[in-house]
Amino acid sequence: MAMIHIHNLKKAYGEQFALTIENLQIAEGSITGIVGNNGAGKTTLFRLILDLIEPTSGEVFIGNEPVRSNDAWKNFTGSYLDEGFLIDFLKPEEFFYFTGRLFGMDEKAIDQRLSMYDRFMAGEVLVQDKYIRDMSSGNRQKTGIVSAMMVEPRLLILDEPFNYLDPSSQIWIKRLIKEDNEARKTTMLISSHNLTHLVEICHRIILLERGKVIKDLSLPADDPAEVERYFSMQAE
Amino acid sequence: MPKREIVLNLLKHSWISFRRAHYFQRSLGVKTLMGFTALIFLSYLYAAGLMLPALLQNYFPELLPHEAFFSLWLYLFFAELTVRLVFQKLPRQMVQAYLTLPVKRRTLAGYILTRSWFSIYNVYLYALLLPFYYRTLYLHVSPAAFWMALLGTFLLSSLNHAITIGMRTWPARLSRTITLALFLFGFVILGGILYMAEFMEFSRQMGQAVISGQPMVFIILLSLIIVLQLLAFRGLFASFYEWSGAPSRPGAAGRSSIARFLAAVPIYGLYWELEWQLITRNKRAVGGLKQWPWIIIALPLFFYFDPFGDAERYMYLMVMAAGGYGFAHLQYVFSWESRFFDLIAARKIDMEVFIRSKYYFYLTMGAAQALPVLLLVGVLRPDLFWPLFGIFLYAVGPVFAYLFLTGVNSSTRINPNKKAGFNPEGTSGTLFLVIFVSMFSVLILQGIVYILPFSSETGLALLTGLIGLVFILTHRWWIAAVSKKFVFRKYHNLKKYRE
Repeated sequence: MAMIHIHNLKKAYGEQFALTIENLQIAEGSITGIVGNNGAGKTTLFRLILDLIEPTSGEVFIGNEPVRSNDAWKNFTGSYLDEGFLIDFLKPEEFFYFTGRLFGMDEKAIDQRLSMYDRFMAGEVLVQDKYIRDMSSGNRQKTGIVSAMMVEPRLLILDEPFNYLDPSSQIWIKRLIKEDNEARKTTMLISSHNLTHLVEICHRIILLERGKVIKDLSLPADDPAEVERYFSMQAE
Repeated sequence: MPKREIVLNLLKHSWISFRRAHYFQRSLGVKTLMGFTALIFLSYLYAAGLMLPALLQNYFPELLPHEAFFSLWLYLFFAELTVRLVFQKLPRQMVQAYLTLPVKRRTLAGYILTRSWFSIYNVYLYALLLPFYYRTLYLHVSPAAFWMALLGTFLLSSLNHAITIGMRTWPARLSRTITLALFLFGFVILGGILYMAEFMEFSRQMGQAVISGQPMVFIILLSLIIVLQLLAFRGLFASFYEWSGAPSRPGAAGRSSIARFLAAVPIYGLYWELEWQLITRNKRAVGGLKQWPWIIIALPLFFYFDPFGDAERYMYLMVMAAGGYGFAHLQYVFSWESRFFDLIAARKIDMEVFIRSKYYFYLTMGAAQALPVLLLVGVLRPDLFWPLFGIFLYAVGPVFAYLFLTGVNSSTRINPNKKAGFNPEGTSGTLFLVIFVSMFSVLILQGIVYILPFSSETGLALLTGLIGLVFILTHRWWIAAVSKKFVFRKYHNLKKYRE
């Protein structure tokens, strides 16, 4: 069963089409990686799914409901695309409480959930008595990722989650993503420039070029080297 | 590079950064409006300077205009100091880029102090005083008295500059202590209303000493300025890591008891806490709160000292006293959240509840500002109490509704933590139009009050109170309209917020 269904979706800026997807379904409980060079349309796709930009035509459905006319999907969707998803004058704890309360969690439940991310946050995010704006890029990234994951979403959307993270944290986030997917069957949509990371955790990899799906691989059945070859050719 | 050349280069860079600021990159229409606003402000001061002799003659018929003026001279400079303490900043952020270059810390400190003198706060007063001194001293006393008065003004204004800049250069904790001491000093002077006659006499004698060119006055003032500048220079060294952009101190403001109290309120508490944190933790957003004490103290005193002014004439000031905070803040109603509106749009937040929570919050804040003003006015000018109350209802009714409605059209991005001074963020043609229409609506009200068969006090209280009540009672209806409009413009606004 599909968690996300994209139908005839187009987004144009002036004459230029940033995204054109005729039909795409993201299966419930799957981890899907989106790859592509800069300007391929990864973030545009995420913003369209989250109803943050208006499609030129077409529709996105989450759980059979169109995202534009019904916001029931917000009850079970966690997302972190960039720092526009952070309230930078709050401390991380305050931000987690704010987000958690929007999902109907009380402070005790939030604390309990946060304890699961202790190792990932490595003692540098909580109890630092710092505003988010005063934290390093890496710790801001961790705050955004944790705020999206801690609410136990059925659908998780992360844009470039490995950016700014140190190698240990990158390993940790991969582990957390895999564990969460296995334990709760969370549907995940993750973009990254790091193909190795995505191959490790994803069931499916979609390659975008100039807003179009040019490869759609199921792992481990298909060979991810195809995507690597594509990037090598682009660099030549 | 020699020290002098470095300072000159830095000053040149400062000028270039001013000329190339976003301020001057706006459309011709906005630039014209901005220039026009500045011109109006200066013309007001100039016109006030021209009219001042007649006004003083009216209030102090036994004194010559310049004698009457000198009786109030120290009050004027105390007021000027107050304005500086609230608004004038130390231009220390301009040296951030030079800290890692081979420029001595001493040179940078010298530059910061030099640069601080190029400030509008050292200029605007002359638009008022030049015409006044010319008409009273140059024409009726002597050209020498005119020049001496200008020199005295320059020194007193410079002393205020040196005090303000001195305080900004000392380490934060010490600076706060001194600010508190100065506030107490201010209250002593305000309390000095009790000894007003003696104080005015002292001020008049000082003015006379200045225009008669007694050197001791100038020497004392000049010495004080030099001492304060030297202290400022030392202070800059002591607080080097504060102004060199070291990371902000850990443990800045915790979750206050007010925030906790707000958070406990059902439905709206979550958003109220966020709103409170937004306005208390961001430099630009907190600016409005810092002006409260001055509005609360200054406006009732102003009404008190001008007992012949009627309610109709004071309408603009009363709008400021009753709803000034809400007006200042709600001009940018949705732009304050522009940096994280993607989050708000992607989470389960009912836009109507969100906007309603904002309205209730600023209604409460408006009441918190207006209440002490109303109490003071009730004691000092009881005849203005009901008009002011009516205008409060008017401010939180139709004015707020109008700001919310037009706020949806404004999609400018604001960094609430970036100080407001010379910060063009949020400036737009829409904003100027909003302010213009708000001001114009007051003119219309004045016109209606004029034709009503009541006294101006009763007419104003009834008219503004009734209009205000209608909008307050129908707030759910117009907030639903604002919310619909917001959802309609959502994609456009979110796109602009991201840019």
